[in-house]
Amino acid sequence: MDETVIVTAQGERRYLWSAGESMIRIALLFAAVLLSCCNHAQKAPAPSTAVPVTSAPRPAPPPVQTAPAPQEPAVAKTAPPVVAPAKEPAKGASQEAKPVEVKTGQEKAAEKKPAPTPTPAAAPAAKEPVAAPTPKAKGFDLDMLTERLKQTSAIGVFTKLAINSDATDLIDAVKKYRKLAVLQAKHAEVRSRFDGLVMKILALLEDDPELARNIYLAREQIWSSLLEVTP
Amino acid sequence: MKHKLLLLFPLLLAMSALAVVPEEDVATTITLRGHQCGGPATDVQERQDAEGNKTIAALCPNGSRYRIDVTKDGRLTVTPIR
Repeated sequence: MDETVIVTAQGERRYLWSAGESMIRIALLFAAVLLSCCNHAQKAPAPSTAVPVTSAPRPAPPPVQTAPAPQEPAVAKTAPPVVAPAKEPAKGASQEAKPVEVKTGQEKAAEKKPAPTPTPAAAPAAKEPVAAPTPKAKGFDLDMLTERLKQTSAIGVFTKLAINSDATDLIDAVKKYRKLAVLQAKHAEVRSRFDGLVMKILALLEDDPELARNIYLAREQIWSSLLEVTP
Repeated sequence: MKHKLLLLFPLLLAMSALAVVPEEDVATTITLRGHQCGGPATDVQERQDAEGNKTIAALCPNGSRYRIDVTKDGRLTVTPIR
């Protein structure tokens, strides 16, 4: 410490180590800024964590219907890492830049530059909710939904009986059409009746939104299981 | 133990308040079958025969009177009473 102190002719004490340290800090800051610039230009190092991230959602749209379940977690897992590397350089830059106030402009630039990186990943994430219902519906359990519909307090007993009657009528109609081999011809009619019944149930489940959501997400599976009803 | 029961009592009251009132239930059932009611039904009378079939008579605020038949196997029909 003693070697770094210089006493001037006027008796002022200047610390050489502070200048050296500040130089090192400036050099580090430059290195961080350069790295972030390189990352932004090449999209190589920052995407080192983000490359699998961004590449995963892009092929996602085509196979959405075939294998949606693995894609959904991939996006969910990838979304945070994209943001995390963006924050890390910003934090490092801000911690190093605090002592050197001159570099705050560059620091801001460094903080602003990583910000656009999440946007490309955010775009596929925004598109993903369209495909989200399918993975949710994959864990579809008709018995569980039926039981929850029976147990819910959002619908009264007679209303439940009315819905049950409607569902039974619809199943009977499907059985009848299949027996007569006209199910394909009556497909649109049966589907509209099914949609009407689902809408009725959803409207009635105003006080149980979670169940309503689950039924809405599983409606295609319910429809498939309705068509698979054996005569 | 008493305190716990006392604490549970308002909770049970609140839960019962959330449940659907029979008058509203009947009115919803009538509406679901395509009839007009105009609000919660009044004068709801419920009867059950020896076979387990249930009959509910209800008066709607718009003056219409309906009969709801529930068979023992759960089939429900709504018939307007003239």
